[in-house]
Amino acid sequence: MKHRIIKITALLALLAVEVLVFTTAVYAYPSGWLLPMYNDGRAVISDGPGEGDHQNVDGQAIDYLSFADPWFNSRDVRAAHAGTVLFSQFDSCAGHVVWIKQTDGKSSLYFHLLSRAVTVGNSVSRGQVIGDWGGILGSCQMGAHLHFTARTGVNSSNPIYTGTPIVISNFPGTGWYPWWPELNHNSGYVVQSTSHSIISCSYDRTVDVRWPPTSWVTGGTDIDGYSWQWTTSSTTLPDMTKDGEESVTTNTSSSLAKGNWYFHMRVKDVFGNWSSSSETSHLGPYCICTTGCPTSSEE
Amino acid sequence: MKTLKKIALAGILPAIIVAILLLSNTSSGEADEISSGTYPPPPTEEWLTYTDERFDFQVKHPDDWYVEVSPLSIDGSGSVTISNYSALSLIPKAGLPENYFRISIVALTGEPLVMGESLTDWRNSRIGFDSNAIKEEEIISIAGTNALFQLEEHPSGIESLILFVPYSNKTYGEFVFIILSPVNANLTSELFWEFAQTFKFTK
Repeated sequence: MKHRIIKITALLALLAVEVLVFTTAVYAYPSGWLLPMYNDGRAVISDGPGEGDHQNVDGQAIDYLSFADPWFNSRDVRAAHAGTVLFSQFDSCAGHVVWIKQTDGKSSLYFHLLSRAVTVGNSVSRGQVIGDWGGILGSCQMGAHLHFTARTGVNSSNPIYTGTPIVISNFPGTGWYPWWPELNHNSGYVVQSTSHSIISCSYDRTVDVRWPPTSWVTGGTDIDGYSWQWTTSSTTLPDMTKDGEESVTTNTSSSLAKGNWYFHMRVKDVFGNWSSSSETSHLGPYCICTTGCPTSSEE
Repeated sequence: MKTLKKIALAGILPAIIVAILLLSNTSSGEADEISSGTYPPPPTEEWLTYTDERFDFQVKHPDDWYVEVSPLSIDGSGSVTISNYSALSLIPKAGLPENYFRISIVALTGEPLVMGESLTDWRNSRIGFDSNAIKEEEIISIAGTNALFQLEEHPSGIESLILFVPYSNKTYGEFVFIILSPVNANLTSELFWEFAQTFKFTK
């Protein structure tokens, strides 16, 4: 009997530790939505707002994909925000589709999924895996990608026409590749970290980020260089002094203090123009912790 | 009389020779097109058989084509896509290659047929589709069972062929396969049927 009590006590203690680890491992997200494939940031955007078939009512949509991209290794599609699953179904044209509604009526749609991990009525948290992508099922699908769009309302008869589109490039933590004014490009790649995740904290105080070489980006030959900055603000605009030439594709922060950090990057084109504040990439937050950090055992 | 026969032979023989030459040219032309890799030859003993033990079916395919099996959905549904291109190699922005062909087989296990429900009713209530896009539909026989066939034409110009096949000839209580393919050439349509005819239930 005594042994049994000890065993139960030990199990409860173990459970308490696991609960503690689990609860502290969940990063406190910033307000706002996140892109649906941010896990390691290893995704690229092939068609941005206004490109390809992203026109008119669906003009703010983006296509995520990975083509010959050695960076990419995850096919998870994650909920951009917490909410309830309104629709989870196979569509002969679009493949598997998931639609999630937030309590304030805003909604997000995920098209061309290869499989679905949620059903109608499920409550989902921000960042929860709702399916995966990477194949082609729907008859209208041209290549493997995730078509993601967000709306301000809900109209069950046709979600695409619900309310007005939400500007996805304004999502926090997007790390959108900076646009440059001369070409007014709407698409590009996601700037990403190779050392840190935006969903968990880390003891590692130096954060590595990288972005695609200009040769990967349409019109990239017009890029002349970059200016960047690490701050604890999500909206800092780097100055107009070049920190790196166009051939540079990585940056490592200095040793950062405890807190949430963002990497900001803007681009200069060969005509001397700097991208504006709305065209600047803001990547983060990266949570740096000093104690109680569950994701690493190293201080 | 003999003179007439000679005249007839003189006229017919060259015609036959010309016809044979024309036919042989046509055949060699088709053979060249196939051997260029544009499309596979029709199903033969040399095609490999893909057997799906999750959903008890088989389908044949050329040995150098890609067979991409999806993970299962939360409701147990799954799919396989067979194509002459890997899905991840296709860049949506670039458009599809001219010789692209694929056929996707989706088993929607979470949506069984109920008693008395027709395939048309099942389609109308269980999957998303654009009713305005349907240009043709009819009941045909595939894998020993009645299947609903439809030809879709979408506003974007994409056409697709779709088959709804009830599992193992069951009229209710079982799931439905959706076999679909986009169509970008007439020949693609022929290929679709060649593939579809190799589809068999294993149980």
